[in-house]
Amino acid sequence: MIRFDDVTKVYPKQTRPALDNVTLEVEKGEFVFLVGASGSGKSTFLRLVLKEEKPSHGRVHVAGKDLGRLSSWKVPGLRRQIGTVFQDFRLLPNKTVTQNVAFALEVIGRPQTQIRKIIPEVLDLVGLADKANRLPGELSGGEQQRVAIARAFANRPIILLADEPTGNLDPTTSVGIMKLLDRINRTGTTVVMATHDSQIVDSMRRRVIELEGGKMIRDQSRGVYGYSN
Amino acid sequence: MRFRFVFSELAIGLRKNVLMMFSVVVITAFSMMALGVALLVQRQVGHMKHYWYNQLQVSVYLCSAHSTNPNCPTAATQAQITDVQNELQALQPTVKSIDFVDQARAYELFKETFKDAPDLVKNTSPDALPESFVVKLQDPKKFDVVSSALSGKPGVDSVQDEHAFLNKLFAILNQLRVVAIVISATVIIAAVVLIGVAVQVSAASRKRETGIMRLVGASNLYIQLPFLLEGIVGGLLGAVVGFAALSAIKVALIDHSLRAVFGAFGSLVEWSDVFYTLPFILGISILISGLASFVTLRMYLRD
Repeated sequence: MIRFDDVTKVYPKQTRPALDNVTLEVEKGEFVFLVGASGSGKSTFLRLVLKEEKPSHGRVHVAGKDLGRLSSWKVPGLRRQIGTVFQDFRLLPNKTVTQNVAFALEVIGRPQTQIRKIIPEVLDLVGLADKANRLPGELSGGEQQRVAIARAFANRPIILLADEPTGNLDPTTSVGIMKLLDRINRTGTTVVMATHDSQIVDSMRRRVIELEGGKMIRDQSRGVYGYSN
Repeated sequence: MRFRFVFSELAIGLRKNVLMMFSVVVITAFSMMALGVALLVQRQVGHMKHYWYNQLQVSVYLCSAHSTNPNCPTAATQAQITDVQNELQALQPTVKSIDFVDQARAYELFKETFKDAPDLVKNTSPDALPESFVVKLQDPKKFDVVSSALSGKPGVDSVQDEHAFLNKLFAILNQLRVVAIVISATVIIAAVVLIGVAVQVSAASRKRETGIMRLVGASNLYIQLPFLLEGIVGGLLGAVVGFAALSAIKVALIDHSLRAVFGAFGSLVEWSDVFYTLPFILGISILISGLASFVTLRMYLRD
C-alpha cells in the first residue's frame, strides 16, 4: 500500500536531510505507529505520501502508483483516497459538524443525495450523531477530533494518515480516539499514525517504526514506544 | 461539476470582499467608458465623412458690405458677379454644377442650419450674410483649381472649401480619440492589476477553506473557479456601469449641448453607435478580468 524505496528528502537551505535513505513497506490493512522526536521526519514522511513534497532521492509508491510518475492533475485523485487527521483538528469554525463533513464531500463533487446519506452514517460511527448541528467552538477537543476523523473517513479512503491526533487531548479522551482509529482500521483501512504518545503505543502493541534524525532505526511488528532490548 | 457549490462559494467571496469589488467595478467602469468614448469618436468621424464627402461643394463668397477683406472695398457689383460666373463656367467639367445663393436664400439656409440655436438666428439679420456661388466639384481634391482661379479676383471675398475645415475638425477628433485610447489603456492596466490583487486578497482570506480543499483532493479547477468567477463578476459589473456612464454622456453632452452647435455638420452619434460599443466593452472587460484572475490564481494557488 505504501512503499518507500531508499527515500531521502532534503529541504532547501537545510544541511541535514529530513529523511535519510528510508526503505519500508506498509501492507494493506496494517496499523503502523510512526514514532520519533520532533524533527525526526515523521511529518515529512506523511507529506511525501500525500505528494505535498517530492523526495530528493528515491521512490514513493502509494496504492501501487509511483508518485514520481504521477502527473500533477492526478494528484487530487490520489488525495481523495487518503484521509488525514491533524493535531489541530483543522475544522472550519463557522460551519457546523454536518457542514464540515459535507464540505469535504461537496468539494470533490459528490452529489447532495449521496452526501445526505453518508453523513449520518459516518457521524454515527464516530459517536457524534446527536451533535450534528453544533459548531466546533461548542465541542470539546475530543469531539472536534472525532469530527475531523468523520471528515477524513467519509469518503472511505484506503489509507488514513494521522499526524499527532492525540497531541492536544488528555489521556482518557485519547483512548477514545484510538479505539475509533482501531475500529476504522478493522474495516480494512490502512492506518499510519505519527505520535509522541508513548502510553498509546505501548498499550496497543502494533507495528512501530522509529525515526531518528531522518533515519529509520527500528521497525518492530508488535513494538513499544521506547527501545526494548 | 457541482454548480451549486461553486456558486455558494462565489457568493461567500463576493460578500466578504465588497470593498475590493467596489474599487474593481469603479476602475473597470472608467476604463470601459474611456474606451467607449474612443469608439464613439471614431464612429462620429465616420458619420461626418460619409455626410460631407457626398456634398462635394466649394463656396465662392462674394464681397458684401461687411467684408473686411482689402480685396472688397465695396459689395460685389453685378458686373463682377457675372465675371465670376463666367470664370466658373470656364472651369467645367472640373466644376460639375454652379448654384448662385442670394441673400434671401442664404438667410433661409442659415436658419435651417442653426435651427437648434435660436439665439444665434435671432441676432443675425439677412443682409449680414454674403452672397455666394455654391460649386459642386467632380473631384473634391481639385479644390485648388477653383481657388487659384478665383481668389483675389475683384468681387470675391474668399473661396471656402468646407473640406479643409472638416479635415481640421477630423484631425482634432482623431487626437481626441487617441487621447481617449491612451487613457483607456492606462486605466485598463490599472484595472488588470487591481483585479489580480482583489482575487489574491479573496483567496488569502479563505486560506483555511482552500487548504482543506487541497488536502481532501479537490481538483485545482474547483478550488480556483469561485475566485476566478469573482474577478469576472467584478469586470462585468464594471462594464455595465461603464456602458451606463457612456449612455449618460450621450444624453447629457451630445443630445443636449453638442447637437445645437454641431448638428449642422451632419449626423451626430446616435443610439445605434452607442450600442455598437457594447460588444467591445463587454468582450474586453470579460477578457481582462478573466485573464487577470486566471494568471493570479495560477501563480498564487499553486499546488
